[in-house]
Amino acid sequence: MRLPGQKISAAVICFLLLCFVPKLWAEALLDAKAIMEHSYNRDDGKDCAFTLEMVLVDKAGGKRVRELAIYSKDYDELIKTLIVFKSPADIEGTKFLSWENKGADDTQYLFLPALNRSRRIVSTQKKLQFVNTDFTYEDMQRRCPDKDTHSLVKEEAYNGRMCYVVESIPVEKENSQYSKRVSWLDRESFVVVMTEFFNKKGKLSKRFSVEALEKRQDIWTSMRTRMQDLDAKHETLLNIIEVKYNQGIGDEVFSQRMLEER
Amino acid sequence: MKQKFLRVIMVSLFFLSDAALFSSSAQAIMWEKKAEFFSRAYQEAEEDNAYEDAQAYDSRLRMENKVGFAEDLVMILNADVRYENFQWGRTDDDFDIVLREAFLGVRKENYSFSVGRQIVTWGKLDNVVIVDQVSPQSYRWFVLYDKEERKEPELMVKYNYYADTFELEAIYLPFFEPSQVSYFGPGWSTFGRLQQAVADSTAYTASQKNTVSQIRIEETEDLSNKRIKDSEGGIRLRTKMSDVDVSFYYFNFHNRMPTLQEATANGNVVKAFLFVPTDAMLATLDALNPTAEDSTLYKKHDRLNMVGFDFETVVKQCGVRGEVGLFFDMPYLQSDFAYTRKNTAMAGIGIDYTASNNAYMNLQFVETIIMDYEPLFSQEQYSHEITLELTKHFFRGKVLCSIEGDYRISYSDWMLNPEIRYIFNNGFEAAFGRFAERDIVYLECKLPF
Repeated sequence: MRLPGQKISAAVICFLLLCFVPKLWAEALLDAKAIMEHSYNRDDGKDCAFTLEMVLVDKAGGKRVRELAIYSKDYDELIKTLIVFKSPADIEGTKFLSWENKGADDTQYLFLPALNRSRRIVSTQKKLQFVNTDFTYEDMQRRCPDKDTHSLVKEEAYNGRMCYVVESIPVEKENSQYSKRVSWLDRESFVVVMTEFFNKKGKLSKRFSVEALEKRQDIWTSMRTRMQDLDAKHETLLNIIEVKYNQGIGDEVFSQRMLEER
Repeated sequence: MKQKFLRVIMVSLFFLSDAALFSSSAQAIMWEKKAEFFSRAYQEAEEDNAYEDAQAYDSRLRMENKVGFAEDLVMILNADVRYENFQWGRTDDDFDIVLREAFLGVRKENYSFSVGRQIVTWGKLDNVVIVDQVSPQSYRWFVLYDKEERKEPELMVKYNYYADTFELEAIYLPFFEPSQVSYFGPGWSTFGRLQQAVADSTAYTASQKNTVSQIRIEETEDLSNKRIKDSEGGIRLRTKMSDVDVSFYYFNFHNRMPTLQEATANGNVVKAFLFVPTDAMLATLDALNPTAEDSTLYKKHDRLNMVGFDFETVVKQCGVRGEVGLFFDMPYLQSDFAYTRKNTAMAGIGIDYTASNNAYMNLQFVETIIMDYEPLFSQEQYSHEITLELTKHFFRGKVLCSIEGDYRISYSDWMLNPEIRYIFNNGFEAAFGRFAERDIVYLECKLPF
């Protein structure tokens, strides 16, 4: 015969579970999104100018080295970016200009020295490789946290730094070439120090990792990064040679004029 | 030849040397220099006649300098050392150093100003000339090189004003520079080695040979002298309408391509023979017993006015662009080879698409409409042309395969150029390709340093 207290106890437990588990689960969700929003909105300067070395490494270990400059400037919530390739000769003078637009696709231009003019390019073809690197155009663009559903998987150390591990699944599947991302975010800086990209079939296909994270002008900067295409066994290394923040870069830098001027 | 060679060496040394050798204040000067060695060897795959070039070689050392005297003052100075060789049983070759771009530019926040020899690119279509009329082109190698490679710099003053919502570009060219078109001789000259072929043949009389040998094509005396009254000017207004980039153009200029104008009535028969070189036509011409004046044709570069516009945007997964030009009093040859002028409209539209595997496709359609039409020599009232480009990189950009094609629907003539290009890690490139029209195979090497 069941004692009255046991029935009440079971009901109370069920009631408590119904009340608090969703709340706990919601708190975990909220934290994950808050983490991603904190990363998205972290201080990365009002503007920045990088000089980078890009190394493309094929599966045989063969290397192709490029030098490029990247300029970026915040316009409230939007960003404009200019990328200029300085070497080698077959790509020298190629420039890429991107303007984020609120509620619309990015406006992008590509300047090819052989054409001596800039050309509008399609920003919605996110799967395309960016100038034969392991980065696609989607990888190059900032991704607003609202486009994914995030969940905090765990916390663990990566390269000696404690990280939040957040799983992000696109809200609209067609909005991304990936079925999900798992990102490691450094707890101190909220910089993404590693991301695993899973293809539409759910298989781990690419991995992005930060190998050197330093403060420059009091801003956390990924000085050395690696993007690996695990299927093709090819990787792209980016080494920042020089970085300057908050230099007051003029608006004219992010114009078609800058693309076409010698 | 020896003096020319020494001149080449001296100028090359100047362009390739260190800036510090020439300036005590070199620290204040930013001097970027680069050079590129380029060489193409052509082989005719199929012999069509004994007077075409069985082999040809085109080699070039291009030296480019950009000197920054201050943050807003820059000088561009480029030169080519070029060697061309045509082989057709004999050898025709030429060796020279050519100053290309040489201009001084001032760059301010809201405007820029440049003066000197420079190249201008207008329009949105690739390898098609509608509104892109400013820079003359060298057709010495016909269309074996792309439009931008064919362009020749010319002396001009260029002013650009940059406002928030628009850009205005104004150009003034004090003198006229025509496009370089060869009429007789090696390579891709319009009438090839017609005169040589007639002279060598045993099928023609001495009179006929003399008639052909005295044919001359010359610049008009007026335009061969640089005169301010031949100066040209144009403007471009560039802006954005919604998500569409648009530009509007006006250009007053001399037609870069010459029209052959006769000095006498018999000159029309000379033209008829050159464009339709048959035995019957030669007999007709010879029967006229033409004088030297009859046999001299002049390259006429009529002054034209052009208005036009271009646009570029993105629609779905494609880039879409186009341009329209309206030319007033464009010159043509009538069916009897007399000279006439007609208003002409040209319009083109192009679509770009890049597939998910990074294969790139570019398709363009161009239409030309001659107004108030009357029968013309080799020009239809409505003429249509399609161009196509397909490219794909392999091995992460080490190998580039491409095919370019041009089909003039109205005249049933076409050009096809497949090419495979390998890009070495140090930037050296080697390419192998073929032009199907005239069946030419070529090998190209390019080394930057």
